[in-house]
Amino acid sequence: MGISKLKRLLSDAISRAFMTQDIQLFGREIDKNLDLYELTGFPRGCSIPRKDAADQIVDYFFNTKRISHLLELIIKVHKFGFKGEKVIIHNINHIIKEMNECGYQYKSDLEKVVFSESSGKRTDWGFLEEGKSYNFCFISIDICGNSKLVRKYDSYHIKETYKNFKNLITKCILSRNGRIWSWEGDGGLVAFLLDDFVNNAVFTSIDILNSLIIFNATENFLNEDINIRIGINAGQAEYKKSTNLINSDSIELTKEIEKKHTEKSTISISRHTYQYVNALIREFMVEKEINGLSVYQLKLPIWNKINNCEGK
Amino acid sequence: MIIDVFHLPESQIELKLKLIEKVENFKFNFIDISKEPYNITKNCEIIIFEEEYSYISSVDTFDNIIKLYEVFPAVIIITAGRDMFNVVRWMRKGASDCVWIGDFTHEILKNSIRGSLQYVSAKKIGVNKDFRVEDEDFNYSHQKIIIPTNYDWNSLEDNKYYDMVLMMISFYLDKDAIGRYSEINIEKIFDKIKEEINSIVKRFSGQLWFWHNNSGMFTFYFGDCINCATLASIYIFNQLFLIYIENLKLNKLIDFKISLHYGRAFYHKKDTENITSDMLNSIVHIQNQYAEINSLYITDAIYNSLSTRIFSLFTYVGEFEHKKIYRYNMQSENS
Repeated sequence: MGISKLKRLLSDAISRAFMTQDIQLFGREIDKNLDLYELTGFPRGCSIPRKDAADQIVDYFFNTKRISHLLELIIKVHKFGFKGEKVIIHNINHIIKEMNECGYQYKSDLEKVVFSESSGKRTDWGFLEEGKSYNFCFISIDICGNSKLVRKYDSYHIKETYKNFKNLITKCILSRNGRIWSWEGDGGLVAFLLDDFVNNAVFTSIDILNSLIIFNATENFLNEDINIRIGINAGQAEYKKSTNLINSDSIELTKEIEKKHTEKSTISISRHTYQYVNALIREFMVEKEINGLSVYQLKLPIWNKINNCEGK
Repeated sequence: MIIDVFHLPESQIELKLKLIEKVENFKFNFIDISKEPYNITKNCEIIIFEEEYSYISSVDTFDNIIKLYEVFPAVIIITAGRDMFNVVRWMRKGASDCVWIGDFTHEILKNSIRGSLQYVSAKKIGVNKDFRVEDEDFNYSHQKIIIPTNYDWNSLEDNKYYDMVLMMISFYLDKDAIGRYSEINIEKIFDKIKEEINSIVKRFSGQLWFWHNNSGMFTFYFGDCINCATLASIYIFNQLFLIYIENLKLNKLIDFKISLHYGRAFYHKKDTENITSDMLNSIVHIQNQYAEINSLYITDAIYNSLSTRIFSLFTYVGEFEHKKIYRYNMQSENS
């Protein structure tokens, strides 16, 4: 059951679909240095039985934690063939079913096998690899004047208000496939990766600012409105499982934009990220120099800008 | 804040309240129930009513008094009896509190008035601005807007008048857009917009009353309907930008107007085409003759009852048909 059944199904599929020399080529799609003789221990020149070759290759990718790559390749081969030849993986449905039971899921839009998120969202979207660099769009969010608020109000009211605030943020972020990577009570770092990730970050930020008005009127336990600052910047970072330890120049810049170059209740976007923002939203952004750095600023209500432009 | 006090002839409560008046920021306007006409404070939001013997013996006088006010005020009943059923009757009648005259102490009355202030917001009746300024912390903390969750639109009967908020939203496509989109596409866009707005309105306990072509009329009746409707309209106002770009993938924004008014409206669930009322006329006039595009307007009937948490988001812009009009601009005093 589980992993051993999945391994058995994969090995069966590979040994039925390929000749031994093709099994090596198949494995080299994932690891270009793969050598079946080395793996199996058969002397060079000897022919390796297909079943042994398939078993070894499956074991190898399981042991090197590249199971998702192997599953991805099997599905891809079944769909598109291999080296120009049509290949039928006879037990593909069984493999997919067992794969799902083992906590993996094939995402056709990404053409990737990812860890299933059915039991909760994962900070790696199910497929990021430790130590690899990816392009993200980061949002840094912070409650303005947090230390003053903490001094002014008792811990119960602060705790309840901040808990509600985080719930609001989480809802806006998850609805656009973002992930909270670190959170320290009054704010944190959010990452967007898939789809139209820069625009998703901008949409989320606008949504948060708008939802904050409702939050302040209905869920805020303090005797004053909570105001926030949002900084947005796109760039690279090396993924780590402990997401709160992830750091990069891009993340640093995002935090710096939010802390030093963003006014209260506004969103600041770095200059180089601006070019990836939806053209229509760009029309509503204002270039502004704040503390020596030029950023693009967005604030609510966005419609005020139209009306002001039209001189109404 | 001024509180009208309707007392029985030669009542003791006038004396007791005068002692409280010196300590608190309340100002009492004493009115002898036996001496008509009553010199009431028109926009008074809390009244104290001294019961004669029981609910039965006082309810007619009470009804006559209530009719004098433009908006149903919060009512504190001073009762001589301790009969629980008598209290229940007053509460059903809409009283916010019932105080036994024997318990009548400074502290109890102060708490009753403060409790009634909360009740005021729950019953769509606001507190005046002067009071908001006097004790900002108290007002802010007590004016958290509560969105009702337990309500039934079917409880409203056809062909009756109800005090409710009407929210009108209209969309205006420019000439280019009419050429750019086919008639079917325009219909689809409006259908989608209607669907999105309706789902937001429902979250704030409102409902779509009717929709004609490019305009929709939404109603809010339950709980703190004034503040719920205003919050819904602010949220829609800002969210429309995302609806256009993110959901509808439009490459040009559609102009719109939103207006809100509170008052007595003639209600019918379905026969909306033949409905006319001053309330409905007023909001249509504001929307069509006064409002500018991409703006959100509220009348003084809404503004005067807004929670301290949101009233600073609106600024006075002028008068129209004897109503003060305020516009949402989010230039909050504390931002």
